[in-house]
Amino acid sequence: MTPSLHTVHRLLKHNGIPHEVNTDVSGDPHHESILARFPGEEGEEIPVHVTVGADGVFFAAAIRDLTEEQIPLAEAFADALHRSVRTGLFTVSHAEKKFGFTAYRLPGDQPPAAEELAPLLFTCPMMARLYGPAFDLVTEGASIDAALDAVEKTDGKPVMSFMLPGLPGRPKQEESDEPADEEEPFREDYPAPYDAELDRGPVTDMVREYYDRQDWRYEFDPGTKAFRMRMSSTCVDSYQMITFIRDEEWFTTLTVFPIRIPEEKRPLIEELIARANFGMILGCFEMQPRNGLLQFRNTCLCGDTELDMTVLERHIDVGFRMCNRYGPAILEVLYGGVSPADAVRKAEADIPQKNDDLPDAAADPRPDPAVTGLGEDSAPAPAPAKKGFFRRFLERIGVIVTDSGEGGGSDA
Amino acid sequence: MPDEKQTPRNLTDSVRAYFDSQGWQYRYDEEKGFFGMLVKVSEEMEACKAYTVIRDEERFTTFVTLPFRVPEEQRPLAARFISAANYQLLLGCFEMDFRDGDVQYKTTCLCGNVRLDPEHIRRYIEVGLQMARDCGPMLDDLIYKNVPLEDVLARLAKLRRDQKKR
Repeated sequence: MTPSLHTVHRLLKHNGIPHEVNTDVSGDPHHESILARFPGEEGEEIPVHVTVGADGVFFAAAIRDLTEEQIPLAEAFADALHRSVRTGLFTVSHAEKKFGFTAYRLPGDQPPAAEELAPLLFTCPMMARLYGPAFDLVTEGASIDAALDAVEKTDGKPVMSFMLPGLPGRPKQEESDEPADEEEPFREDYPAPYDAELDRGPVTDMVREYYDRQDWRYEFDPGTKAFRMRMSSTCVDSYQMITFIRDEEWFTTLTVFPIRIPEEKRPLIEELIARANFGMILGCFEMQPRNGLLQFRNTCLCGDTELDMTVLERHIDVGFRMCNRYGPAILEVLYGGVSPADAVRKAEADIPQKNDDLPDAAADPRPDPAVTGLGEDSAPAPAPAKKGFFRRFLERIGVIVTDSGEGGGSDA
Repeated sequence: MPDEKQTPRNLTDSVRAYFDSQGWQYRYDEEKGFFGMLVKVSEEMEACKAYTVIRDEERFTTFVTLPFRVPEEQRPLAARFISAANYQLLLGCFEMDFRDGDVQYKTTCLCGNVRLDPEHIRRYIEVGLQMARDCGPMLDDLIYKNVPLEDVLARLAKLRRDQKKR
């Protein structure tokens, strides 16, 4: 999520406005948007779309749907309102037949602060709520001046009660029982919450030092605390590698495969990544089910532990190494008609353990795991002579060395 | 392998201290370097096997194995569920052994030979137990009770939404 969109998200969250975030971690900012649902009159909602692109932050509120006959009326109404509106613009869409209000923030050198975006964001529903009824009067036959007179007399009452009760990052005056960014067991999104005061920190510095030592050309986004760069492998160009720092406590490295998986191929790729993930020590492949975004994810929760550079290297590089290993397999399944099993087998041909030709375990009776029950002696038994489940398990996790080499996974 | 007489066993000691602090009854296999126990994570399932393996005093991996196997013909279907369950997790993932249908959740902490605080270890270990508790019954329903994949994925999505709210 870009810093701008994240700021909008926090503004909405802070003010209790329901909204849907549509982010795309592939890094294309044009895919990022928020649909906020502000309260309107009589239980209706005022939808406000926020999109972020290279050309700035764009806010759009839909005020009224129009009939063909109402379009000229709406244009005249919008013209009249332009004289009195200092921020934003009333618009009439001929294509969508909508009367709306838009506001716009130009791109700048720094991500916009909440104080900059809040007036634009909250002006949109306010204008909709104020001038929507005025436009209704116009469509019912009132003159524009009369309609505006009727709705602009608010007797000093706020048009909307949620107008800027507070900005995120600052304690609210009245309610403080819930922290603004409570940690969640599952991430809502990869990036860390935006906090301009925390552009640096022990984990950020540690990761930055690693990136610098590698002489990599990367971009660091202080808003999302993300290191971004592109890498090419032997078979696929332009993987995006992103390391997000979260709460100066952990970091997640995503290695994003540059090709979206077509819908009809997703079941095959799901099988492929399930096969590939088996036995990996660090990280895993994952696919966004809705849009086919494929990426490798590895998270290191390090807290205040200072990690050795070799440890950092394994955490950060594992994604690229795995994409390098399994990239050809993905392409073979996508375009070569190869089955996931064959593709993964080929990709793992040089991993002794995974290449181990074990008997079919389905025919193998599940051995007594030598645990007699909860609260009792729960030690695994010595490995049976026959290569059963338990022996294979011990081999895989590396506590038994196989005949073919060192046990362990394929992380590094 | 490092010389165990020379190398401080910070990781093993940290993990052992955490297990002891929880009052868990476990067996530590000194020779093979892992902690094993059975854990009843859900009333809907039998106990899961949980192993925490220390490797070279530089990382530990926790496996929580579901108490059932996926039949061979169902494994592609299970893979679809596992793929959805793994998406958007922070720590660890489910994995399935396509050879025998075993499914487990694994998390690895690669940190070097350092002493870790119990909270740090807790997060690595408990996420596996939590995921087995939450997703194990769903996979069981999918494989053995013929619940359609769409329904199971809808339950998974609801679970994620509820967790976000919490």
